[in-house]
Amino acid sequence: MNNIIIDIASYLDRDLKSRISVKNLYNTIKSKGWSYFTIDFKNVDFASRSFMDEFYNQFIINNEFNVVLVNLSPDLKKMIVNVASTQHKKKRFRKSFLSKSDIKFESISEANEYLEALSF
Amino acid sequence: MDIRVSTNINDNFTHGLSEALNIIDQINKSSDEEDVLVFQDGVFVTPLFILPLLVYVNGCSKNIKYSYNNGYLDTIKFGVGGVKPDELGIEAFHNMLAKCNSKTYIPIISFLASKEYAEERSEILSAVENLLSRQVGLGLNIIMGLKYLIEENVDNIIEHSESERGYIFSQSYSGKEYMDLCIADNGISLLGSYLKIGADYIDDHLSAMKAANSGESTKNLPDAENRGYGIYTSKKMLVNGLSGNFVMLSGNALYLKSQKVDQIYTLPDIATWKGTIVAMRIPYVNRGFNYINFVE
Repeated sequence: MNNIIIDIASYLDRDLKSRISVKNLYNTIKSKGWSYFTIDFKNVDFASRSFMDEFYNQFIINNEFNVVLVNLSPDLKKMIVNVASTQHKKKRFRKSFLSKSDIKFESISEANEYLEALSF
Repeated sequence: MDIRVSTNINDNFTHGLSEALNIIDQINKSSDEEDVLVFQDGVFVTPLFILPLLVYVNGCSKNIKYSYNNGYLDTIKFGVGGVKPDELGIEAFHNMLAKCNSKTYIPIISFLASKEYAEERSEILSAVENLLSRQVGLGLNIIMGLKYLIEENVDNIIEHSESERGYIFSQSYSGKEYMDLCIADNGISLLGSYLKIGADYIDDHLSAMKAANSGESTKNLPDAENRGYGIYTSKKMLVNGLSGNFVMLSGNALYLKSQKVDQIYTLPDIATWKGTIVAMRIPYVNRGFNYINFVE
């Protein structure tokens, strides 16, 4: 029976920021022995992608838990969809960047001459 | 040797880096065991000057001292390596930031990067983000983007750098409607992070820079591709979404990205940073911007 409601903002922050905060939440919940619970996002303003990726792996697809998520904002829902869709997806931006050619400077003065002429 | 620092940095985002490189050049040309950077009165500096210089000096084998009589450098706590909230106490830290409400800068903040310090670091970064938002009256859409840019880059420090501390420093330019934000660490660099996992196909700072910017994470789960999106999405959000500029320095590799420039560089060996530095020029007036549109 799922009658445990976790207000995630009160456990962590209104802004959900880091992978380590997910791990800390995981450890807290494990130490309480909870397996079936609801996580309430009503007081959450923001979540980073890193946070959500870790959350996805530690809670959403983790067979140790049966979790219900409630009060997710549209942005948070979209973030979950995005991280779910990229778990096993080959990054399309990888190949072109790895083959990118570089410019090598032999001296600081050469680097500075270049940088000072660059519109950046 | 005394090294005179007398420049005033102009609008070009990389000018600050050029000036830092000039100082690094002089440090390396000096045969003295100790050099003193003598800042002239009235010198104007930027985040992309200050944090690269600080990180370089922190990792330098020589003893580098500072000499200045400059109110701005004093205010941003340059000489002591930034404000350390863990030493100052969190309440005193909040009081100090409150005094910056009407300013256009935040002091250099040197935060502990250990995983055990997560809760305090979260509070510190929230205070910084709130201050930056108040100082220039950011719209909610830009605040969300700013949080994303800060948190993804700080999380990379926590997860990968093995640095004792991370640094964040910002200066806003209200007349030009952008802020310069720099986030840095004195850690093992991108290359060190790849070497730790035995990525033997990455053997220099240049290839590490390419790998990091192509989304090659050192911590993907087995059979998964879930990591490595932080840098990529930050760049895309900043450059495509906000028309900003992105700079990354690690070891002696430099990467510049804007709407017109997308280039990696190898700097001379003497310009090798022990750590990683990300600097962003963030235009902050853009009503159509929505950060979530740039998250993959």
